Amino acid sequence: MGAKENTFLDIYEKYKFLMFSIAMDVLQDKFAAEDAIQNAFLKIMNNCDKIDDLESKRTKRLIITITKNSAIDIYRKRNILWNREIEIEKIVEFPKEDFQVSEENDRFYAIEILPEKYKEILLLKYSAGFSNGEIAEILDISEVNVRKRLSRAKKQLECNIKMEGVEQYE
Amino acid sequence: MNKKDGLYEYISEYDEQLMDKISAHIEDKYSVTEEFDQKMKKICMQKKSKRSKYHLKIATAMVGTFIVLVGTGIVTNAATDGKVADAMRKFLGITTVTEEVQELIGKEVIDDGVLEVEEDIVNENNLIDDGQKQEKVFAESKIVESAEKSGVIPTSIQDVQVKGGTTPEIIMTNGAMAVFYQKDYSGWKCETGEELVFEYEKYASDVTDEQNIIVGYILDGVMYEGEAYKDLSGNCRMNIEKEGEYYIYVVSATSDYVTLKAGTIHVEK
Repeated sequence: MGAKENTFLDIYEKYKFLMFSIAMDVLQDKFAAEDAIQNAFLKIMNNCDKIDDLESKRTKRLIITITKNSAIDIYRKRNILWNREIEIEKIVEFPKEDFQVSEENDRFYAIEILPEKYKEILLLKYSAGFSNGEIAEILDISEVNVRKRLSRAKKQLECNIKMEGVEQYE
Repeated sequence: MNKKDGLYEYISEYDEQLMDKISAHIEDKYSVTEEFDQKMKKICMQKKSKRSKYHLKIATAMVGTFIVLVGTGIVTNAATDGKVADAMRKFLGITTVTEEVQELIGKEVIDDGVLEVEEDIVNENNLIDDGQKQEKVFAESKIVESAEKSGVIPTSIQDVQVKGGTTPEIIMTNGAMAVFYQKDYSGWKCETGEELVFEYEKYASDVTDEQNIIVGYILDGVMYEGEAYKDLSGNCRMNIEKEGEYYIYVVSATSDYVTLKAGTIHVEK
């Protein structure tokens, strides 16, 4: 990894509060959040070859995605255990409503209202610049699934843009 | 701007805004517990990074494959103080015990560094070439040129001078080999039927009861297979079946630091 310069400890020190915030927002439980961070960090270590610059948007996106998904995994397991209905879309609204975009005045509304899994894959691909193969590793899905999901996400985004009258991106 | 570029720009801009908001959001909101923080730091320091480029599996056998830690921060247990870590960064392989490294005696090694395979020992199939690695490591010594068995090759070699029959105190990392010699790189001249004896004593380890070392001999530049010695002190006796000039070597086969106290080498008739 870029861990020639950045050790795992550097990554942890830099991002521990971010990871904890994300995990807490999903799980609302300190101990479960700590479990999520631990699981996430092990996965980050296995994806360390994707980390070049500790400060980069790409690194931050990788850490956010892995932590969030790790927290969701724990949330799912706990709810299955308690036999509860799971509505993932409601639990992954991070950041929370206190600074979400609004329909009236934000040109990013079209992307904000995308289903979480579409938003996530678009951010990994078009903001962080991960390849389909890398995204497959990060999300634990096949490359075929990555391609399908990306295609659907783009279609949905275009649809949202047209529906909401948001400025076209082309 | 085409549609694809526009998509990158649009989503990237959104992500930047999102991240700014996230950064503002986490300020002082949560803090991890001290206990969890320590646990995570330990995990960070213990875990080695994946070297995906070469897809090499790293053998951890006695001497193992020729893997060199390059540019690593090898640090010791988080429970120990910073001096230990600083000391360890100063060497890999073997060094005589000095004030700078004496804090490492008996300590556990925790490696948070990057494992790198030196590219000049990797063949066209991205596998380590035994011949090349042997040639490279043996070039570090003026005494040993080859091994009787190709499977046992140290990670590094250092020739260590013995004065007045007494070996110096040395501290070793895993896979490192010390070759003892006398003045002017001479060895110990032995006749058939004699015994070459190395009396050793190790410093006790804080972390393990078994600090394996391998002790063997070198004759005519060839390193012969040695024997493992677990005990804290002992005599390694080599029966001489062929007259010649012998050298004794010691390889650390312990993952933590092994430190040998001053020992002796002599020939018994």
